[in-house]
Amino acid sequence: MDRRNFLKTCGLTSASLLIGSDAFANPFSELKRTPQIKPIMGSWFEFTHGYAPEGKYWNSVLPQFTEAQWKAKVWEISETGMQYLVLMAVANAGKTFYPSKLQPQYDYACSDPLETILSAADECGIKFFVSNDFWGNWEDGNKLMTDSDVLKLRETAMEEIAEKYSHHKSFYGWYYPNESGLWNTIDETTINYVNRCNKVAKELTPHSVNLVAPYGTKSIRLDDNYVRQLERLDVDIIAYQDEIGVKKTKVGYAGKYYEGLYKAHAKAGRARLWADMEIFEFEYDVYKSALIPADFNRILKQMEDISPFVENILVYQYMGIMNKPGSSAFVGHPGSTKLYTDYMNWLKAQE
Amino acid sequence: MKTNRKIFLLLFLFITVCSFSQNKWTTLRISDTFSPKNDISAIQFDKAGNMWAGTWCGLYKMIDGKWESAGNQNAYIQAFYIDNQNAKWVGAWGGGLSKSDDGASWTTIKDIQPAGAINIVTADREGTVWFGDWNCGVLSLKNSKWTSYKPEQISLGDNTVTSIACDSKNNKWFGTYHGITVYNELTGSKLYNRENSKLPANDVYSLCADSKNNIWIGTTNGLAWFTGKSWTIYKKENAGLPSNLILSIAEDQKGFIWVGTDKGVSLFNGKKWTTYTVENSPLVDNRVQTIKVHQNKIFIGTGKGISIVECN
Repeated sequence: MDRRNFLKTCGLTSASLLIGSDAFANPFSELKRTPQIKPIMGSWFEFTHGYAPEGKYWNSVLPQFTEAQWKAKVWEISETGMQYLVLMAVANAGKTFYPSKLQPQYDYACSDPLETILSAADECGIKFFVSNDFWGNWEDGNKLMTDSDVLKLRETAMEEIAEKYSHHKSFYGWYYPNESGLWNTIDETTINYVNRCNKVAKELTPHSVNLVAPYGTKSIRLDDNYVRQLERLDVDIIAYQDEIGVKKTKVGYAGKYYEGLYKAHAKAGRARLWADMEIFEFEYDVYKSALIPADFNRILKQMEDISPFVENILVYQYMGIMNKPGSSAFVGHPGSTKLYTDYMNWLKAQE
Repeated sequence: MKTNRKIFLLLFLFITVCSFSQNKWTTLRISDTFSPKNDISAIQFDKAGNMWAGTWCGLYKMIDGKWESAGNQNAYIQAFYIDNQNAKWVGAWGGGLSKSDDGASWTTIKDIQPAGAINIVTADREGTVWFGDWNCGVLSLKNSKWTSYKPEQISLGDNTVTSIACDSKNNKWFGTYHGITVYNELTGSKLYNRENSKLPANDVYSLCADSKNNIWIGTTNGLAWFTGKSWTIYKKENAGLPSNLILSIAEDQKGFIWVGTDKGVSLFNGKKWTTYTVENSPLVDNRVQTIKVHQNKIFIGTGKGISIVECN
């Protein structure tokens, strides 16, 4: 053992003698102040979940939501301290979630859910990244990114959305929801798609702050080529999916990927690095069963692992996975209130 | 009282320093820079005694003290295993399963498609090789015959198999995200989860069957020791583990248990836990992803290289 390690060991041993008894006595030691862990700053938000088996606990409820319930849901999220919401979709399967000239509207109890949530967000200070898709089958991301007809429809829709809703204070920016699967690096399809979306977005809403959330995080080769591709990608924020919920990455492993991304983003000096952290697990098999709340112990470890490297942690997602006990806009799995309570208890301990 | 405390403190420091000085630590890295080549997923030894390392950027073999690429360059290796026939198995993220008999030429296994990605490969004492897949359950290879096992057949928690251990009673233990399953061809199978046992979390990441046929279970919320009848749970709060996130487990030749976490590695001698971290030891990285015991040495594979502990 060298001198440096000897001194460290002595110090740590002494410290452990002084604090050890308290630490072992308290089974809720995780609830102590942990300033190294960043809180959740935002969430995805959806009017329906694209893949019905995964949205088992909320897809049938959301169409019945009244205007008051949509507002209550936004307020409820705001009360957790979250500041950002990312709207997954403004359209799905040939129908829209707002009154549009482009496609027929979903038959929801609330006549304009998009207007309702943006109005509520205006009141409570939430910033929305508003989706600019899915103007086709959401599962065919490649087509949505490359098809010229979809492109025209999407850009016409962006004009319509900007005209109707960009006056809202809460209209913070756009979200380009076709998920780019990163394999080694950012491919040309993604760069072309994102850059085109961003060009239109900046023309329509010059002050917009715009976001993408790719998956395939663990397969990125964080080399100079990746830095070059990052430099070419014209977007303000990249919130990489941690892929813990989809079981592609184990808890405790994600941090090393974000550490590498932190270095790559620092070199590229362009998009800001955020996280899209998955707070769900699958009820049974991955991609074949319902999304349900994960245990907060797991989620806290996810937060701790990536906190040193990301500017903000967003989660997928509050809707259906977290609910304030007694919420007038309850939607989701019964265990969602426990996750809410566990998270809020931790958050209070940070004050 | 104060004098006693001082004596205790000095004694504790003396014991701590002595315990570190008894072990010799060495560090191995495949690349000198921050690189996925140092992100170690598996360590194995072939029949000639050569060390192999599966990494997040290829497979490497140590020859005459130097690392050489052993194929699968640029592959995201999640599992690597050398079976008792000296065949090498690689499970790669997005790359399927491949095998090499000579360690040079590799064949992609097509018999078991559509396996998603292999998380773990190991073998039982009879030589059957067992594979745990990301979303296709368990597979086995015995006498050139592949068998696929689904949750309903052997009570698997789900189709994502993170870890496999085989004990000397011919039991196979499968870790999933919905608990741990014990399977025996003669006696059947049983699933243990939080609802029917003391398993501290359903997310099982690592397993080790020790020489006494107990099973050590690493979860996202602590370590469980299961004798087949009773459960003992070791956590940060009651055992001083550096973290409750258990990534790897191995038994050394003395019967001591090494437990890798995301915040260091702990050694349990049956009575006492000792923890090694980058802060108090030469451990190269706190993220301890795999542990291999070979010839009285402990090979600790981390996110930033390999630490070797030579035990006295």
